[in-house]
Amino acid sequence: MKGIVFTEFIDMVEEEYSLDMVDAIIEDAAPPHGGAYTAVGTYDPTEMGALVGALARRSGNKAPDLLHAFGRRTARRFAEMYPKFFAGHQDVLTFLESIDAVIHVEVLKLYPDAELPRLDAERLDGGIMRLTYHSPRCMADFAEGLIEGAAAHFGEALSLARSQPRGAPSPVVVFTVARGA
Amino acid sequence: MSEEQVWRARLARERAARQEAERLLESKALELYLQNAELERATATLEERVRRRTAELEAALAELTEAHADLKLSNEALKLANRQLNKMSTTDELTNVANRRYFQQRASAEIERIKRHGGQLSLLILDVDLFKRINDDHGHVAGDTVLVELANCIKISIRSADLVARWGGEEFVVLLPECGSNTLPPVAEKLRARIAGHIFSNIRSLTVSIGGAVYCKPESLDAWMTRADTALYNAKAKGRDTVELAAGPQAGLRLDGDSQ
Repeated sequence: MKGIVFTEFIDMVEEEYSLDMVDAIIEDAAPPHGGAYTAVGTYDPTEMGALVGALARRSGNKAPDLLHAFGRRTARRFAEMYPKFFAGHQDVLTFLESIDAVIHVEVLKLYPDAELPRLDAERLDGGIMRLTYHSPRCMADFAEGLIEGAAAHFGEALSLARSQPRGAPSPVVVFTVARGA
Repeated sequence: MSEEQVWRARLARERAARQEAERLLESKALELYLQNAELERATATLEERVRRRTAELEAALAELTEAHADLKLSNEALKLANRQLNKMSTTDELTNVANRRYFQQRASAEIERIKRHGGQLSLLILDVDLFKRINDDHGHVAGDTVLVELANCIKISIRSADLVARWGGEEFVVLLPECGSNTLPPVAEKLRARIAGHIFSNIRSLTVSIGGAVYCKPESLDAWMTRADTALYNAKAKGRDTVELAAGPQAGLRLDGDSQ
């Protein structure tokens, strides 16, 4: 998993909780490098599960909700860090279509060994889009947060339904996204 | 753990992260550097190949242009040779008038034309009187000169549509298109008189005997010439320097098949 996901997660914990919480969850998760995450590195994806699990135990929040909130935050942060990928899209649906078609293609040019999730976008009638998330990391809750965060960036209200409920880990999850709340 | 220890641990973690980031960036920079070097090498190779190929193509083009020029030159030489050959095959070498072969071609063509479209066609055979004596008295070179001068004399005495050819030896033939039984006698007589009046360079003068025949459909070229030849024989028999015209091919006709 790309390091930026970890550094963003650590930043979130520091902002939302405290530096002490950061120390604590790193100690709990005990990654081999001592938690010295860098955005340009690549790390074992199970470390993310351990960090989220540690935060859930210590904060009293559910891990799926934490991942969801982290997804929303990451969408906002990506829009700040990589505005180029957001500019030029009139609405969130065309942006969501561009994730696999454009953004992941560009990411792979920079990091040929990156293991990216797949997000198949399919337009249905009535302004509805079906997004099928594929990832062995089973981070659909994070993906859901990202989709919602993207909609917020474009100032759009979306209603979102998913094939598996939040907190039910699955490598394939279908999101049905419709315009309007 | 004291607060200082906690901060020390955090500092160590941040430092480790920084060092890891630097290591990764350095290796990425190295990777880019190597890719760039490879790219430069590939570009140079490509440029060299393009340069070499361009030079090859230019050389090939120059070769082709040269070959083309050569070809054009030899083509023109060939055309010239062909023209010369053609002239040689239709011209009598000595007198520069048409040869027997060309006369036969033209006469056959004229006969075909008459057969299809009608019209008139006549023929004269001229033979120098006592040519052997000229050769004996003045030599063969003088004899040849006489023949050349005679050929020119005939040529300027006939119409441009007529054709004079050397049949062989001291014998000439004249093909006269659009000339029938009315016009042939005065034409033949005029020609005879012109020759008799001409002053030749080595000898004072000479005479010719002439046999003529108007073509009668559907006789062959040979038959027609035989009639003219017989007329020539008759002219000789009558004492030379005279014109005799052949009778028609059918017995009983005094002249030719032409309507009068």
